[in-house]
Amino acid sequence: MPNDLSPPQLKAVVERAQRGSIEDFQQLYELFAKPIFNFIWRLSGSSQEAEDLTQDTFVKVHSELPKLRDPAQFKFWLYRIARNEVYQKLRREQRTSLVSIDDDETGYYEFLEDESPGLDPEQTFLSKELRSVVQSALDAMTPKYRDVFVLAVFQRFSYEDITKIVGRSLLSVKTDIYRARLVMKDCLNAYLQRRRKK
Amino acid sequence: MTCGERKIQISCWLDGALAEPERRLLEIHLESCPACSRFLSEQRELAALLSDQDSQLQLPHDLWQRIESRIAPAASPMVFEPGRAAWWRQEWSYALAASLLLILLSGSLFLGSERIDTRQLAELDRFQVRVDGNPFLSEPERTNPFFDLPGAEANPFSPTRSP
Repeated sequence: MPNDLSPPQLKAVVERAQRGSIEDFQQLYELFAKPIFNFIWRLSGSSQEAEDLTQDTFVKVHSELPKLRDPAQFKFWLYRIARNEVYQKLRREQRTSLVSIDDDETGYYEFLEDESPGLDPEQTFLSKELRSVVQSALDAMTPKYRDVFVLAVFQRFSYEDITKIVGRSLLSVKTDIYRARLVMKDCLNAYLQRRRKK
Repeated sequence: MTCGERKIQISCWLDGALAEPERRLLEIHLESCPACSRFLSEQRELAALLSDQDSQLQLPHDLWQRIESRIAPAASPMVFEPGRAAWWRQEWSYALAASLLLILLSGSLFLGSERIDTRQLAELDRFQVRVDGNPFLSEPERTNPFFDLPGAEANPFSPTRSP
């Protein structure tokens, strides 16, 4: 999570961006672009879609920003817009639950830095395999489980903050994250067994 | 509390979302429940695998430029958006001020030209009085309305030089 600014500093940047400062809007982009890109990527399962949707999200945020009533809520509002953009696009493409990454694995790796030079080929293979398996597991989840799991595990949001983003109760968020963990464990079992043998 | 509910608590614990009193009660339960203990160890292993999964992620280097090119047209003078209402009103005020200035300038020119005409008419009136009342003027002098202007000073027949 971006933590370069204190909440009052972030609020001040948002307020200046609301008044039309492009420099402050760019600062918001620099603070949040990477986690938002990551969030969208995990939800959509496609690097190309993540690029397009990250653009769409920030363009929408720019146009809607003057309407944001409480600048202190910017972060949650931004994630909410990103999430809506993903699911609107998935609905348009009639892909509500399953998103294949088979055609996009190369794209996924293009966005990652080179593997650590210290890793041997076997570790490199396992690392790439793990990424692929994790994404497949996310794709196998229903959107309801996927978004809360990504927010809790990859984005490290607190459960209270997740309720603000997804608009569901705390109890629902807790239960859905638990169920998503069960799906993830089932999908990763085969990988874990191979890993234990090596 | 059932084991299913305890497992939800374990999930919360892994995400740092379990309060201290609940955590202590959960630890007591784990000492006597192999199924919940196994779930905890499996999920811990999973959490270790998933940590730093995205730390190597890199943004496309030109993403901001692409976003900026899409938001820049919103500032174009020909585009009206509700969010740009203040800017739009400001532009209108400039246009209105410029229009008023043009009207004032054209009005002053018109009035100025009217003043010139009035002055010329007065001169002609004075000329006519002097001509009509002077029996010594020749015909060219009678028909020259500029005889008392600087250029007419050399005229020996000027009425001002007449005895």
